[in-house]
Amino acid sequence: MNLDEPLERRMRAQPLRPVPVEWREEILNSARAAASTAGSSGPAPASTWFGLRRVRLAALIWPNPRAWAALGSVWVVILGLHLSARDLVPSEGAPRTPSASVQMRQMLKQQAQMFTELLGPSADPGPTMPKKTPGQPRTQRPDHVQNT
Amino acid sequence: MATDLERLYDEHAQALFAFLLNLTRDEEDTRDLLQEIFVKLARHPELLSAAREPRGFLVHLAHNAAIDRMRRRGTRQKYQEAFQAQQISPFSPTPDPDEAQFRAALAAALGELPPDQRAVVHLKLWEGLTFAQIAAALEIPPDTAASRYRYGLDKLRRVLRPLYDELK
Repeated sequence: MNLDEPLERRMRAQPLRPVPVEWREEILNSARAAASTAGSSGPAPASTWFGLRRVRLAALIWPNPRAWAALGSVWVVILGLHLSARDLVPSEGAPRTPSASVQMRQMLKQQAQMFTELLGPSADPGPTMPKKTPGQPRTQRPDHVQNT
Repeated sequence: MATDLERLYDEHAQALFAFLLNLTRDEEDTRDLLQEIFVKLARHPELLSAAREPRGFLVHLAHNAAIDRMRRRGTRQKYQEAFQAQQISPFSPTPDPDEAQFRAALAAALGELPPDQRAVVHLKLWEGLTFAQIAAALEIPPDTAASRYRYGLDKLRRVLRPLYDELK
């Protein structure tokens, strides 16, 4: 790929067609009319803060608006799938009532078994629910349990 | 503002016209696209003031507009048919028969290139842009610009070499 080759030089030397002279006024008149139409609709779009943001956003998006629209659609679909999937999964903040009551029942059952072993099968295990001091250690339970 | 627009037209219209004509191979489309570009500049003059290189930015606008137009109008085959029917050439006519023959062959060979290669070849050969400038204008990597130029030039060489050897 050497531009100094004669063939490339000859290609490069071919003169391009000139732009038709009559196009100048036609195109400039259309452009001026478009500019004055944009101006008559209010303040120039870039003279306000929002206008400037809109123009800069248009400059970023304009080259390929379809690509940006497609990307936005993909993100909307992803967000929708994410939100619908969240509804099917229980949140971490849900109350633990079922598992807590199961644990409590197991604790009470163990206590009842312990009372039965200690006091015999005829003994009334008494209230199995620890009263008012759920955090009380076993060593601080009623004396007749401790002294045996 | 009017003076700025006229100055912009006088400085860049020729280059944009040649580039658009080489891409579209249709004079009517070229005119519409050129007008579209200057209408946009008239409505949003701040677009060009924010650009580092005015010519590169305008080529970028022209390229995108041409690609959009070509996509709306159909496949490359349609342009090949239009080219064959109208004999649209991006080069000036000449009275010299050998030169005219070479220019016609070059125009036809350029028309056979894919638009992406044709754009790079045009900007490199007739606008004298560097691969970095071409890459910035067409929003492609510089390596891609270089490879498209290489492939395009190889095709042109293959087609034109016999005629060139005969005419020189």
